[in-house]
Amino acid sequence: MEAEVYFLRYAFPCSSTSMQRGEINQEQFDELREAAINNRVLPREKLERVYHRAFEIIGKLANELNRDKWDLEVIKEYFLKRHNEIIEEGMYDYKRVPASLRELCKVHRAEIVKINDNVLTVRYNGKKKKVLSDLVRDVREGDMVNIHHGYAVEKL
Amino acid sequence: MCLAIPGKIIKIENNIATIDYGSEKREAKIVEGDFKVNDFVIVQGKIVIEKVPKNQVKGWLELLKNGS
Repeated sequence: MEAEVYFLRYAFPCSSTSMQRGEINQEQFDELREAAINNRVLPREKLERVYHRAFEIIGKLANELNRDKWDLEVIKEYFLKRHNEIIEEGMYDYKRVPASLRELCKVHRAEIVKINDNVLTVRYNGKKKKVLSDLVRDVREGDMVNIHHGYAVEKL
Repeated sequence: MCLAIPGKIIKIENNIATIDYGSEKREAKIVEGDFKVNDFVIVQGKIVIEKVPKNQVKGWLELLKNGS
């Protein structure tokens, strides 16, 4: 999978917050959503601009790993590891954020226990959560998915 | 930071919730789960997905208002 596509799947769920905060408009949001759903490659400059907070950290991570920031392994390392560590350690003001919202921001590996239209009930650490299935195709009960911010973002 | 902004359900009619975010109101569908008027919730893709405990909401909304 292209790094741009992988990145957008994991990053898109945060876009509704960016829109609520007025950082992007409805038209930009719709374009991101369409690209995320259809695995469309968007220009790197655009993704770096919209998700500048993520890229601040991805840039540092790339330096540490001595790789390019658009190397798929760097992007994976960010979303599957560094991103959760930052939230858990309370960096970048995350310590002031309520526990339930921090939990929503973290990437979790979860099992699908029920499917109702595009709403999946998933389970991880004994907890049940609702997430949307719009970004993953052909999922069934029993499948494992990574979830982020109310979306299933990758079928495992 | 990519952090959700909770809104308060002020009306539910035929599984469509009206949610107040202070500066604006938006509608979202309730597909699954036990959501009631006065609950603070998170919406994704126009669907109500999660309830946020009331005791966690207040300080957070004030923090957001003062710019986080």
